[in-house]
Amino acid sequence: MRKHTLNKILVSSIALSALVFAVACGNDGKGSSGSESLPPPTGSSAAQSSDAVESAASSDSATNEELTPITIGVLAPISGPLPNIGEAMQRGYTIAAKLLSGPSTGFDISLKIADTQYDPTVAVQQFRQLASDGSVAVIQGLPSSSSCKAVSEVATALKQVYIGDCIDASLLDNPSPYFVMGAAGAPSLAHGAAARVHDRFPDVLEWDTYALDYVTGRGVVSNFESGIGEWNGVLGKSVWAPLDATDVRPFLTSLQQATPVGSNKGLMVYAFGDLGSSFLKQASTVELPDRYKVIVWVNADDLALKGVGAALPEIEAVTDVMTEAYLPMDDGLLAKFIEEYQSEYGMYPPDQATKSLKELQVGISAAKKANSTKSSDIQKVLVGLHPETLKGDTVIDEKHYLEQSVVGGTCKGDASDPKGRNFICENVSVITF
Amino acid sequence: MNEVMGQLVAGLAQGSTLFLVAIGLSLTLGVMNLLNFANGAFLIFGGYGIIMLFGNGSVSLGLFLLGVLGVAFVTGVIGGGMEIAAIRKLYSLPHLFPLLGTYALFLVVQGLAIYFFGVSTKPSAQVSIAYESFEFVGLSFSKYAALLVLAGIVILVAIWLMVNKTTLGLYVRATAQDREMARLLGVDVNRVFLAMFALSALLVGCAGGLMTVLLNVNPSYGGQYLIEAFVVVIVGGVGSIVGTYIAAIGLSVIVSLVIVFSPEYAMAVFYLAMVVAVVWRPEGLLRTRGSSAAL
Repeated sequence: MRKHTLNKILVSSIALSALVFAVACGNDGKGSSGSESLPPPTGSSAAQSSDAVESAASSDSATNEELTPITIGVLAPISGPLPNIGEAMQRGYTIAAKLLSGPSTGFDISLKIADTQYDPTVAVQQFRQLASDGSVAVIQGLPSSSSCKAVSEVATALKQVYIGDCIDASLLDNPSPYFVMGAAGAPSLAHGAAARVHDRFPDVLEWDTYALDYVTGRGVVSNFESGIGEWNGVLGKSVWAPLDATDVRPFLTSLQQATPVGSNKGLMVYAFGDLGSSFLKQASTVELPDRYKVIVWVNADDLALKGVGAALPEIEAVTDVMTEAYLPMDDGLLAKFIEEYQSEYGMYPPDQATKSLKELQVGISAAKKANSTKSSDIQKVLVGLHPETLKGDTVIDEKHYLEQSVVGGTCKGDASDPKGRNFICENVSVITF
Repeated sequence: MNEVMGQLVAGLAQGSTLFLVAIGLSLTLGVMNLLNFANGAFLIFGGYGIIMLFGNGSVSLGLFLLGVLGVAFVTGVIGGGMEIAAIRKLYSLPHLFPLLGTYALFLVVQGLAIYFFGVSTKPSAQVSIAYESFEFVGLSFSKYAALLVLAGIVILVAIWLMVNKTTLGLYVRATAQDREMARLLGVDVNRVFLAMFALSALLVGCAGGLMTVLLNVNPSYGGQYLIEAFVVVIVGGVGSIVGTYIAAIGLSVIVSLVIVFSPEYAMAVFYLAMVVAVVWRPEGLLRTRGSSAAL
């Protein structure tokens, strides 16, 4: 009897649960992901993924016999801990290749996108595989600081040009002549943040910091301290959070208890991706936005800001790309890119996607100037290259930075958006320092 | 002094969250001798369940808690279904197989989350009290943190009563001590296992729902807690309810206090405490050498 009753309870429970999930799915299940959802990873292994994704970008222009075929390799974290960035890169590069293919550049661009899984070992394997392909002129993309170091060494050995979007190029003691930083690294962002907050909040002189506890995080805080020191700013309390921690409440409580509500202090936060949005969510529960006059998020990205949604407190965001900042200086290509992206994916392109356009411009500009698709020829012209298509200060120095523009904006969640997935950034500007 | 007091309370709040995840792991490990990595899947169910129910809208605390209970119940039922369909077939195999089997389930659910929801973080519901605080002994405390502390205590008491004061608890204790003897005495061990696995899923699903206010909901949701919960279970003693609670709170408070003086070493101290506990009291905080595995 008891067994019979338990069986009935179990069957009823399963039926009830199925009903609840069916209703919930009907409301906001698969439909809500829509065009934002990533297709399944392009392969479970490194070897599979490197040749799995090839852009169809050249299909429209392939009929034009005047165009020179060129293949660009892209390293992107399509799977692993930062797949949202990989997704934006994959989409951004694909549209950028489509737009840049044609008579204006003289190239018919094909892409080979390889999944780094945000793992240095995989990144090197993928780099080697792309380089050994024979057809790849330039390799670009985002692995990680440690991957950059490893890839840079391999680039020299293979004589393969690599235009990297690495976090911290200062890790490269002896960078390869084949390695070029595509955009500003995190330490540069810290200098930019110091410059921006001085412009906007000249009366805030005391600054606490919250940073991820690894070599780049330390470098960011050190550079920020140096930057604020130039206008007599002082560094107060520094809190270091573990690199992989998502629940950081005790770290934030120590800032909460050390700072009364309404103080005239600032807080510089260095975190990337979801670690930044985790910080903001939890910071709100301990009133950090009320306790600090200004919170600066260094290395902010809009995908992570979307994770905070309407609850995003007003912050100063400093990053290396912010699409809106480049629009006023646009020659029409970026506007077209945004239009294509919105049409294809039903959303405004994230910063990482826009960055893909900018980086591809670098590689294609170099190939155009070299009038060659050979990696060794392209390497020679990268020294001293100043592509007109790039915006902001462009510098080649001993660390091989190609671009050092940094962008800042005042951002907050859009409470009027019922889904809370938008954020509004104002006072966006390119920072020079 | 204020900072130290504040950190004590912060440790209590974080420990309560950790307990909610760890107690599920402790029950399956203590009663079923199963290291259940599928708990990662139940965290995902709990998190995405709340996203599906409330999206990013504003909800009252009452409705939110009702939603969490509903999602936890559904997660418990799904857990029960998994136990019947897959997990129970692994019990007779060597330890490695159930471990790999539950981990595989976690990966499958993670893959499904990517397929249905995408890889990006989903904005979660705005709960009315999440960003409010109250003053106590001159210090400011988060109301939501207080709610989590309360939830931890309620669940601790409820599970303790269930295990020690009910017939099911009697069967559970008997099974944990000697499953063959319990079977010979007429206890339906399979049903006890089903109940414990489902209860574990329910509790972890509840934790997953509650944490949406604090953490980003994405396919790697709650991953940090899995390893930390495992440490808590080892320190507290496998299957020990009160030991798990004390370990969760104790370790979190230690970490919080270390943050005041040297934040970069905080997590190292967390794992160092595990090493010390394993060497000093391998049976768990509340047990003596040779005592039974009873709950």
